[in-house]
Amino acid sequence: MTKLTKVLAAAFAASCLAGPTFATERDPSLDGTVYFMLPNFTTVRYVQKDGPDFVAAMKKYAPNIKVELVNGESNPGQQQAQAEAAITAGAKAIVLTAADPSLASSILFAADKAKVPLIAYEHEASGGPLTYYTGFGALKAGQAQGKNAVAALSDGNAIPVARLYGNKGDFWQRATKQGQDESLDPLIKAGKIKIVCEDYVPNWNPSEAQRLIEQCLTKTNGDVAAIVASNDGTAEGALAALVSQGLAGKVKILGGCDANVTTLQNILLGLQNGTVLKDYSTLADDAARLVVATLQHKPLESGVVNGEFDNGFAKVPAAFADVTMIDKSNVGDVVKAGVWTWKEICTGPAAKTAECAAHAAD
Amino acid sequence: MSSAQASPLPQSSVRAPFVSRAAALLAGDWRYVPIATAIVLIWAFFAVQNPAYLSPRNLSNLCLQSVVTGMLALGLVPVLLIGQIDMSVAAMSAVAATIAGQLLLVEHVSVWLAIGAGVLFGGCVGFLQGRWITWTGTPAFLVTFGVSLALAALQLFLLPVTGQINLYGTDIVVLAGAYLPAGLSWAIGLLAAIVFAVFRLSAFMEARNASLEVNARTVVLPTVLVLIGLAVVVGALNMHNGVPVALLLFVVPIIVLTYVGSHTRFGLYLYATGGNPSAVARAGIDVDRIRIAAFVICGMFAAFGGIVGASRLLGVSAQSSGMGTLLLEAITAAVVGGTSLFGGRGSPWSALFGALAIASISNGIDLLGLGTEVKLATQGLVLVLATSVDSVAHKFANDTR
Repeated sequence: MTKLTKVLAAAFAASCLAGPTFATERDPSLDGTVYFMLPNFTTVRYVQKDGPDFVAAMKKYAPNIKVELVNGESNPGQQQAQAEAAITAGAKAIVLTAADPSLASSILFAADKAKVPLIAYEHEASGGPLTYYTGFGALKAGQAQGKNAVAALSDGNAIPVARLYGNKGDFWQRATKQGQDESLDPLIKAGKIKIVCEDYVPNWNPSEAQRLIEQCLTKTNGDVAAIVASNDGTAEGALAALVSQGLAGKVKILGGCDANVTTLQNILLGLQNGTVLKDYSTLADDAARLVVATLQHKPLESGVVNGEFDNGFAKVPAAFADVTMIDKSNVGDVVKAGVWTWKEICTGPAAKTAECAAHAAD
Repeated sequence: MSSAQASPLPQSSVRAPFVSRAAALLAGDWRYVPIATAIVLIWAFFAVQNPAYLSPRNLSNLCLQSVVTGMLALGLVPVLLIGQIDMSVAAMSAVAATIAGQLLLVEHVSVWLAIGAGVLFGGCVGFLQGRWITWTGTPAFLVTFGVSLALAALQLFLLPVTGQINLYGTDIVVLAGAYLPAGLSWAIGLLAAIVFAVFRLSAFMEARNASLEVNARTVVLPTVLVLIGLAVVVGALNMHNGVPVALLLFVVPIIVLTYVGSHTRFGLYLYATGGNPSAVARAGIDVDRIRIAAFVICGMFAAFGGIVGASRLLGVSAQSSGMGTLLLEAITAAVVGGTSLFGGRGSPWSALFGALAIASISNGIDLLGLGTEVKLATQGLVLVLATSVDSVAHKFANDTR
């Protein structure tokens, strides 16, 4: 790096700190195209939130970089082809949310070979070289769900509990279950709760979750006191099963993850206990900063990278974000985090709750 | 009955008396015997594993679990009858549910208007698909598959920024969430049995007036069977929550379509188009119009099924609606129930029996907690088995002809 570019880079860094309006001076390292590879259309947040948030963050830090969003449509094979196309098209960097984190190593090696920096986003892409990792970590969500369940169940005796895991064998299912087990296993051993049904939900599909809970109620003749669901979609399916059997509000729904609007409404209505919030916008912002720093070959400002992630191939510097447990008392945190607005949450029957009435003017 | 009109079997009776007589029976009055036997065997198998399987609660579950797949299968029946296929039904169900949900929650239209708009959309897309297929001659498989991808995209476009529609507490929930009062169910059941008897009787009188050899048994026996069947179903469901409204919304269209298939000119042409399109065309009938109509019916039922599904799940999202194995289940249901993939043979009732058989299997697997791998394997094998039986029957019918 010549002295001149160093000066330019420093000037650019200063302009970034001063604000986006000064960033118009062209930095040659901040040109070209960055690819954000989304995993699927089924997890609402990636298309609706992470994608647009990342585009906005990149515009703030590097307005001359074009961001291309591509979607792997839940298909690791298709995502690999998209990654190869991006590398061929001269991608400056790739931000990858792997369609299947355990099947992403070919993408990681392809990017490494072409010297394209690759940042793993949220999904813990394993088995290959990475530049950075940024995400919440699925284990953390499971741990939060486990603690939430324990708080609701610890003073009982052989409480019948149904557990809904995610898609069998996928990465999040394993990590989430592992996190939940840390808290639930001691309760099971102590005889405080009894697992009466445990099922994997194919593709995390709410309709499948609904049918599994209907069958659990058949098996136990309606004797289920609580359901621990691994994400919000499956919790919503479980609730639909309870509603059609007239058990809504009588059987506790614990766990949950993603802070879906439907789930937040159910929490306000007292139909579900809580959910795990991941504040996506901080993640997109972290990812954009990591990309810019990588392209400029300059060290990151302190505070972004706060840990290390071992993906089985190497230990990678990581920017971990925190999860928050949301229940009826702190739904406002979701609004504060900018994930949804009160207007979006307060529709339908939820609009009549006290929380929504208090924020009617927001 | 309807399928006799297109049955390719009669001439072969001299050559292979036993086989062809059995085939003729299976194509006629006995055509539901194999699927009914299969359902009884499935029920027996799971009931032995877990007696809760035949509890009123589970039979109620089973009804609701069959209805959505069944409605999609019902729509597929006319399309299969004309020897075509519609791969867009699952995606269509998702889009129609999204349209109805958005109209209901965002535009605050009445629930009936929202449902009507969704079903109308299904009919329109069905019309365009049918028109395109008949006009260009492109295989329906490809056109409808392409359209299904476009529909999936349309759903993502139509969904609100939150990515999902919450229908909890809205009026649309009655579609799948309401149950009939016990007395009303008994009255409807009785009425249905009487109407059935009247139809059998009029068919009997017609045949006798035409000096055909008939037996009064063809009226009494089926009527008694239907009466017993209805009594068992209504009685069992009344022991839980009652007869689900959704079941009525499924069975009534089946009866209407069966009547259309067997008592109207359109029905006659529908079966004939599948059996021998060139003969129908030579008879001066507009084959394209029949084909387009089949796709319109299919689109409308797919849309309605999707709306009922959303009502059952209390919501719509890209993840829940039209995803997974719904499309394959719907096709399997129609074929398992006895509607041929080769056209000309089948009945709307095949949607009910087929959907019930398939739901019975996944219901039992879920009850026993056997897991995804067993479910996927079973669904796949049932599809292969059912389509193979259909293909062998088709081959046999052609060989003996």
